[in-house]
Amino acid sequence: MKGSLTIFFIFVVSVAAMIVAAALFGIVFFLSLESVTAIREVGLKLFSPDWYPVWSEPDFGIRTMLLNTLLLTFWTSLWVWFIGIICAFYLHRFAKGKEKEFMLRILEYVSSIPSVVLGFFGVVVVGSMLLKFGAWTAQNFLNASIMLAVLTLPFMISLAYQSFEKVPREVIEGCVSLGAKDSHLMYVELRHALPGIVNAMMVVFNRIFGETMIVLMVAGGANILPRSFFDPVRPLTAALGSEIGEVEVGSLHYSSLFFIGFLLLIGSLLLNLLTNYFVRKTERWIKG
Amino acid sequence: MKWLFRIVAYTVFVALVIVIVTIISSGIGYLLKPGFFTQFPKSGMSEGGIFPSLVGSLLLIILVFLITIPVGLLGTIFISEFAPRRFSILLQSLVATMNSIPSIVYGLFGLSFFCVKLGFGTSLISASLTLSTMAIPFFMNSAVEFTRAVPRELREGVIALGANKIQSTLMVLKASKSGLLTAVILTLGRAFSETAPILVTGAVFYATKLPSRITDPVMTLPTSIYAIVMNLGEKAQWMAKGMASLMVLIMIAIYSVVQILRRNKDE
Repeated sequence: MKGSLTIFFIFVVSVAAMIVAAALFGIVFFLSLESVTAIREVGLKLFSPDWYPVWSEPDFGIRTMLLNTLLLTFWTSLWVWFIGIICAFYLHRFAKGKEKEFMLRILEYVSSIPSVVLGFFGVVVVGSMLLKFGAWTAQNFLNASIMLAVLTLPFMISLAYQSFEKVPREVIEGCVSLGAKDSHLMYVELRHALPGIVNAMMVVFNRIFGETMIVLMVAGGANILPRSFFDPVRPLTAALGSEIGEVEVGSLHYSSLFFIGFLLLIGSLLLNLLTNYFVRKTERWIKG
Repeated sequence: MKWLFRIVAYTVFVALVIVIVTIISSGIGYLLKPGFFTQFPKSGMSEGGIFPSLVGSLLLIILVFLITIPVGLLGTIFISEFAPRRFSILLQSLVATMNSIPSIVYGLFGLSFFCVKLGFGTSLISASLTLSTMAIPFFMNSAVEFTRAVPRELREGVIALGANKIQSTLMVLKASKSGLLTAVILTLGRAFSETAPILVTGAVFYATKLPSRITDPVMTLPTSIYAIVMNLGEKAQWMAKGMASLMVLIMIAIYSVVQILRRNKDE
């Protein structure tokens, strides 16, 4: 009697785990299924620059939007990484007691702000501020970049901080006793914390890459390549978010939007693999 | 060097504090307005209150809770207690991968599967199923860490006392209770603040009555903020400000509870 109950229990828990695994395959399956029409009918023209999905002779080219996504993601990631590592090192090395506690708490609260609220803040506050500084439109590349940074900096700082904290004491003490200055110390600690920091960098990159609400609200939505920081842009996720609600199910437009989603999915899965690869590689360096 | 770092760090932190304080303070006054929580929005959302959005968000969270926590908890038990070692590692990396997929992709999946294939349409149930698809890996990702953290000796001790697999599992759940509670709260917070999937699968921007069946579409707080900013003019903006500050206050409350839980565990 007891035995059959246990077997039933094992059955239930394994089914629950299988549901999760099935969900991932379901996501890949449904996104590729829905984008087949676009791939078959539009073909390589999907990568042409013009996106006019509802014209009488529609164009479904995503190249401009893809470049916008890449530009915005790389640029924002770069300065979030840089500033994030500096702040994390400050927290780890110089901040003391109450100051540190307060900063960590602020990070946690800021990381909890919903992205739609940040988008709203970007439209209302940052937008009007940028207009005063000479931007010709309130929603632009710089605005999106700033709000994405506010969204991701807390993750970057706290993840990098955690990996700095894991650097063994002996390494630091050894450095100090050899007479290392702060800058040398930072270099050594950075090398040792590298797996965690690479992971944090990739998390941030992935988050910016897939973020929808902020770019939808503050990036401006113009399908052009930006020439300055004040130009409006339209990344892939913004097109998805704004058009998927009003499209006819099963049409070519619907299908090409799913193709965009499919690209995002593939991109984030590849990023994940890359992250694992780099983390493992850097870990190997530390172990020697 | 120390001072250079200090200047950079202080600038960043002051900016972050300004963001959070501005969001809260610009809207907190409206929360005290009579009827803000109990009235329907009127005349193009420039008057009235946020009642339907609040109820919609609440219903959504309740449904997500009912779907996510049982499945997530059972899945966690399988990964940490029953699965063979290699399989468990595989499942864990699968869950971590799912956790990093952009939320709009879950929205598309929900649209294609729940709304169109299963025929639920734009509805409360599609939205909550879609959110759950996203929330379950999120929950499992953090919950597994807590059940893993239960020391080996405890498990072995219970088994040595003659407990079977179910009893030892219950012991593990009991021992990681506060951690699991943290995971539940964080998951619900995540589901509460996520916008893109609901926007695609279950939200309407304006409704004159509450959803009466689970196949009705809903208004929620995040999608209402989006709708006001994108579609309505300056006149309605106060309502978005109120909702934004309400959402941030709720999230801060959630994280404060988590911090208290964490501190209790440390002591």
